[in-house]
This record gives sequence, C-alpha cells and structure tokens, in this order.
Amino acid sequence: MSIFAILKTALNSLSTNKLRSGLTLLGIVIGILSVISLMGMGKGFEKSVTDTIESLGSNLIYITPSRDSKSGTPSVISLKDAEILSEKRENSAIKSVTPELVQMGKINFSNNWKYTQVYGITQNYKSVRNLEIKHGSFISDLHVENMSEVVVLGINTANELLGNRNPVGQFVRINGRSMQVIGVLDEKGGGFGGVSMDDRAFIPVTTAHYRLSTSNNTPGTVALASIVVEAANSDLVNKALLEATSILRFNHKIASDEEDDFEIINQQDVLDTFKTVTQGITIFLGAIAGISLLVGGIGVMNIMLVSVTERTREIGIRKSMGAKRKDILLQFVSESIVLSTIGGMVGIFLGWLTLYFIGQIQFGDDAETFRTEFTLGIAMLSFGVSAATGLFFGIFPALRASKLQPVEALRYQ
Amino acid sequence: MIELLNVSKTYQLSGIEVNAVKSVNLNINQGEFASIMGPSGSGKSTMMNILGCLDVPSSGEYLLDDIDVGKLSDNKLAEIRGEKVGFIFQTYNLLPRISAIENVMMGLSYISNKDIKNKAEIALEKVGLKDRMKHKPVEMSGGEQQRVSIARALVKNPRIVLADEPTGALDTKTGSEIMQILTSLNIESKITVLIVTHEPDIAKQTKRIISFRDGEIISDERNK
Repeated sequence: MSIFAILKTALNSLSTNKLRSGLTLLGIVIGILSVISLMGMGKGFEKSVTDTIESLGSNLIYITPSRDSKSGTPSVISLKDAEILSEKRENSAIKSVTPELVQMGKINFSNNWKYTQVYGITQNYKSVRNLEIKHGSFISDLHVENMSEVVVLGINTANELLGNRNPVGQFVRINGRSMQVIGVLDEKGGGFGGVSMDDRAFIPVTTAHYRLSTSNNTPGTVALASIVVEAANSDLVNKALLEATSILRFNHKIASDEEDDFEIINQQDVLDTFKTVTQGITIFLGAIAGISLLVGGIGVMNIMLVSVTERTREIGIRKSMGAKRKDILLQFVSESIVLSTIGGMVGIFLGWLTLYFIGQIQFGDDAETFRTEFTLGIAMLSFGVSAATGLFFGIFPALRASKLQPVEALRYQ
Repeated sequence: MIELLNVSKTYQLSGIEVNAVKSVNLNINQGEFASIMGPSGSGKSTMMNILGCLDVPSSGEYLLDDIDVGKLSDNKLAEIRGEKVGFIFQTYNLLPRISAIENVMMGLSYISNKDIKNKAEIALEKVGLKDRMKHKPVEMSGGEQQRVSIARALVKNPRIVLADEPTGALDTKTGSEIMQILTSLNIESKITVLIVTHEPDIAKQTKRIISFRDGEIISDERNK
C-alpha cells in the first residue's frame, strides 16, 4: 500500500471513534503544551538573566572585600585602591575603574518617600555601566572631589518622587541630608537579583562615605562595596584581572605565600554561573513537563491496545486478503503516529499561544512582563518527541496485532 | 492444481489432542466447481483453512500450483493468499466502516497499487452492484453484502475461490442468486470454485461433492 493509502486508512479508523481519539489526543496535547510552555518560560528566564548581566556592561571585573578574612580584621576595599588602580600605566589592560559604595537610603521629596539603594560612585560609572542620561548631567570628578551633595536618580525613582515636575534642580533628602538632583537616567530595565538601575539613586562616592555612611568604622579610608574594573577589550579581560590582582596585593602588602584579602571575579564567570543555573532550571522544567508527555504516551498505548483487541476480526480479514505482518504493523503504528503528531501540532500551537499570553502578563508596579521564548528549536524538538512517542508507544500494540494468526483472528467475535 | 498428500491437522484443545483432519488425499483440478460437505465438526472448516493457506497442515504435503505450502513462512503464505486465493465467508466479513468499493479495493491493496479503483469498479459491476458502490455494508442487504464479498474475492483474478457457507446467512431466493453468480464465475472466468457447506441442496448445484466425516473423506462423487 502507498503511504497515502496508509495515512488515509489511519485517519479513517481514528475518525470512527472520534471521542476516544479526541481524548487520547488531549493527553498528547497537554504533554506537548506543558513541554513548550515550561521550557519557553525557562528559556525566557535564562535570556532575561543573561541580558540583565550583559546590560551591566561588558568586559568587567568585580573586586569585592574577602568574605572570609583569616586575620580577624574585616578586609577592606578602599577608595584608595580604586585610585591606585586607575593611575595611568604603560601597556595597561585596564581601561577604567569605578568604585561602588552601596547603602540603603530613604529618599524624601515633600510627602513622597522611597527606600532604595543609594550608590556612591565616580564619573566613570556612567561609561562602565552603559548608562544614558535623560535629563541634566551625570556626577563628575569635581563633585567627587568636593563631596558635593548632588544626586542622579533612576527614572522610576524620579517619577515616583517628583511626578511630572522637572526633576533637575529640585532638592530631595536622603537619610535626612538635602541633596540637589542634577540628572535623571534613561530607562534601563533589568533588575534581576536586586534593585533595578531605574530604581537606584547615585551620589558622589565621597559624599556617600563622609556625609551619609552610618557604619563608617575604618578611619582614613573610604570602604567600598566593590570596585568595577573595565578591561580595554574582551581579549584583555584576563590580563586586566592579573594586573589588578598584583597591584592590589602590592598595595595591601600581601606576602607572596599569603592569600588575597579580596575577591576578584570577571563578568564572564558570573554570566557562566548564572547560565549554568538557569539552564538547569530549564532542563528541570522540561523534565517535569516530560512526565505529562509520558503519561500522554501511555494513553496512546492503552487506546491502541484496546483498538487492536476490538479489531481482531478486521486484522483476520486483512490477513486473509494477503496482508503481511509488516502491513498490519504499519497500519497500527501509523495510526498512533498520526494521533500523536496531530496532538503534537495542536500542542505546539497552544504552547505558542500560552507563551504569548504569559508574555503579556505584567507583574510588579513597574511595567515589566514575564519574558518567554518560543524557539523553533523547542517546537521541532516537541514535534519530534510527539512523533517518537507515537512510534514508541504504538509499536507494542501493533506488534501484537501483526502476530495474530489469521484463523484465530477470523474466528474472533 | 491442488494436491493433498496424507494431510493431517492436529490441534491442542485445552491439553487434549484433536485430530481435525486425518490423512486426507485429494486432487482438485484447474477450473473445477466442487463442494466440501459434512456436518459441523467433520473437519471441513479446517480443510478450508488449509486449502486457503490460512493454516498449514501438521503433517503431509499440500501442493498449490506445485508449491509446497506447508513449508512456507507466514509472509510467503500471506503472499499466496493475496495472489491466488479469494475468500467468501458466511458472515461476509466486510469492514463495516468503509464503502463497498473501498472494501473491494482492500482485497487488492496488499498485492498491487495499480489501477485498483478501476478494477474494483469492474468487479462490482460484474456482481450487479454498480449503483451501490458508495454504500457502506450496514446500508446493504445480506445478499448485497455477499455480492460485495464476491467482488472482493474475484477482483484479484484468483486461481481459486473458497466459499465458506456462502448462503448460510441468506434466504433461499437470495442464496440461489449467490449460487448463480458463483456458477457463472466458474463457467465464464474458468476460476476454480470450492464451496464448503452442510446443505445438500447447495452441494448438488456443484459438479463434484466431497463429503467429510470425523476428519476423513467418506465419499467423492461427481455430478452428471
């Protein structure tokens, strides 16, 4: 028989019991639907994490105080370290250096207030973090030198506190201290794993330390949360890392047999770590969805077994007409493959629809949506899996049918 | 054309051996119109299964067109059934879900892809069902259904047609119509026709009556 004739026969016999075929189909549809939508959400999460980290800037190296200092005294990364690192050197792989001093602050404007992260930074911060100014200007080196009481607001913070007013020139209070708004950042989005750039406030690092910090217990130095070093280009990230390490070790007077009293890590490592985690989540979600696909597949097998028993006589008739084992095998396998590929296609379509609608849902007060990814790869994979499900779960009932003896099959009532 | 040499068939029926057919020797020539007679349990159905290559003998030789059928694989047997044997059953054995013409086409589909619709139409025309081709078996009378099954058997232009109680489920009038079709099939197309029946009236319409009892041939008479 031709493939066309086989498919026609399969569709014909599936359509004689529409309710049963439909319910079996539903099992496959739900299986594929959950694979597509869960993996799509996982992939979307993966993408948004990666994008957020990448949007923080590229070719970056983070230096933070060591978490387990053996000497007993807490390790400190100071503004002095940042200054030394940013000194001009011959053949340096370091392009720019920016310190970060992070603390929580309560920002007031008349009756409005907001708790958020206040970043003490320098002029370089803008280029290192790829920030754009929407109104006014960014913090300059002069502000840092003079410990000026000026602030640049993230767009959300500006909107929440100041509403429709022109923010530049307004005075806000941060932890009780009056500061003048000199600029507002353009929208940046992101915000995975903390407060989004759009919610932060930025002030000169010196102002943050001397005028704002409440837990300043290291006289003479400005203790930082971290120093961000930008390498000249992506090939020089490792060189810059080694350079920064040796400069800091020298500056901290660390003997050659002692360990670093700071942590240094490059952005790519951070990215890779997050990627490993998020990919793990995607695979985990896919595996859970796979269980429902498995259940759907068993449903197909169950129905095919019933169908074989019911049609024992038909098998006998076909065999008496000259049908060989492989003809009968093909007939039943093609039925289950047709069933599961139709289910697969419907599932892929519904999965796409589900991801589309999930992608429209807003959460939180800022207009973020849950990111989802519908990739051709996942669709092809699901389609392949559903066809394979049909083949795998259809083959056992089909084999059973093909092995029936014609005499006994004809005698079956 | 058909040659049986010492053919026996033994079944295991819940542990007990049943000799359904015992050492049968039989020759049937090309173009014969014969009947196999006998009460139920006489072994005539087993005989028909063996002749139709649905089953193989436990011992002895069955030569169909000089091929020793007993030594063939399942697939080879299927091939022979497909090419040489046309079956007509008491209960018609049509597939209920598909139309008459599709049923007839099914009779050919396992041996050929070519032109099967055309051939099926010709076969249905021969049995007088030209106007009923699109109908499903449930929409047809018993006589019509049996004619569809005759069309299904002859569409492949078989060497032999085996009819198992072809009139058993039909009234006398319809039964004789069916017998007429089978007779003309034998005369016009020179196809060997074998009818298995327990009705002497039916057997009398054939040219040779082979009677079975307890798995053995007790008589083999030719009608004048």
